[in-house]
Amino acid sequence: MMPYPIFLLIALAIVLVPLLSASLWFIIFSLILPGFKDVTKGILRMDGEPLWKRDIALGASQLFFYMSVMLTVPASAILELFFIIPFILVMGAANPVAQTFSVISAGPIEEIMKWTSAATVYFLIYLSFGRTGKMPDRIRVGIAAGLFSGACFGLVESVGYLTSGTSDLINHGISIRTLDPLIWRMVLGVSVHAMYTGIAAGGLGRFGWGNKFRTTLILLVSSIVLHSLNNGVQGLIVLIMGMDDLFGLILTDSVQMLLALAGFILLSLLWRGILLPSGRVSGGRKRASISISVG
Amino acid sequence: MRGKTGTGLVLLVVSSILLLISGAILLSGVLHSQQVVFTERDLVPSNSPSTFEKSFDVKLFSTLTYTISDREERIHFKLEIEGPDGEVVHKKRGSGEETGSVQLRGSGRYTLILEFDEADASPDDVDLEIRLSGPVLLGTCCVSGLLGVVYITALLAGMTYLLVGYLEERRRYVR
Repeated sequence: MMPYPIFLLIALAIVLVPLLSASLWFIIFSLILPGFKDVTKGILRMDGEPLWKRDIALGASQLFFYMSVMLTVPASAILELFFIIPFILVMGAANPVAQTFSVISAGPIEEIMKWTSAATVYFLIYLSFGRTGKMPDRIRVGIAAGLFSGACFGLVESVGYLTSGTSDLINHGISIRTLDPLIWRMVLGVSVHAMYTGIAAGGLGRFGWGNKFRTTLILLVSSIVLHSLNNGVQGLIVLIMGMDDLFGLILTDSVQMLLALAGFILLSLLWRGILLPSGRVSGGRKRASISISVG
Repeated sequence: MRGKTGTGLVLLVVSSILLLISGAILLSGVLHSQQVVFTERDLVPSNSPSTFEKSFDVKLFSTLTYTISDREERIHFKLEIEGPDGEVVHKKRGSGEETGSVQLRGSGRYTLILEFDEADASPDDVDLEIRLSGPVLLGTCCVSGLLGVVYITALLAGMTYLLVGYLEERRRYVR
């Protein structure tokens, strides 16, 4: 048996590694998304605003973290449980079809909850700017709110998965099967959640009726599809191709990495205004002008 | 110090650090309690036929959790846990996969006895995992809970400072 101090060190690492991963990924986001730093500085009032406003904004971001976690984690866990129970009752907990459906169901449930959280954060940021005209590009603020809410969820989820993964590693020894989920969680666990919600929340800046609503819905569905495919790929490879071996694991990882790459490209296109035109808010309400041309 | 909003921000940062430490301490206890103490490989033959056993030491406030599985569902077994005085504190008969937990009443040397109905069965035919959660989990829960109280106090104080600072600045701005 290992002595307790080793477990304390492992637990500290489990708590700190997702934070470190999130920090590194936000540096990567600032590199692949041009102007990301400026948008973040604008939201956090770090662009020449009085010091007290910055304190309030930084404090609020920390409270938004708690709000995001409270909104997404318990609600997702309860809803997923409700979805899984019928499958388990009918097929049994060990049935691979039931297991695959249960992980796929996490996609829509978690994405809708994270989108709700991102929408709340976006709305509060929108309210905080009021009619000052200083709010950065709306679509980019939406994506930033999504990245933030998704990362909050990813942080908490990663801590949970790293705990169970480490327990497996301690009890069953080092092998590709025990190391693979740990490495995946450490490297991509937080970032893919942030990316999915960033894509889904990209439509928040254009939220409205008609075509605008359709845009928001398409982006939300895109993130759900990416998330569900990422979750279900391992189960589908086992069910359809019968590959429950090392090659199946490598194939799963490869497909998941390709899906993540596709997601990052989609996010980058959204950020650059290639998929959606920029949504910069103007200062104050403008008068509508009507021009009549007589031919 | 940058006024009330600055104090509020510092308190919120301190509360976050406390949350991390408190969470890490709680996790360390959970991880320690999930550690497998022994498996089927540690069982030794007993005096009776088709019976295997393992003795282990227990401290106060311990809960034993066992998972025993035979994927082929061929073997029928009886699992018993004997206390330090020889009294049976838990008995379970089953096949396939069985999971359970037993609250152990006191400290001392306990014995786990696994008896197979099939004469040709051995511990190699089943997967057995025994976990013990005891004083370490209890201690980490207490320390984590105490830190949690300090964390909530710092969080509420930080929020109050931020709110008061915000209202003061707004009043100054309106003037």
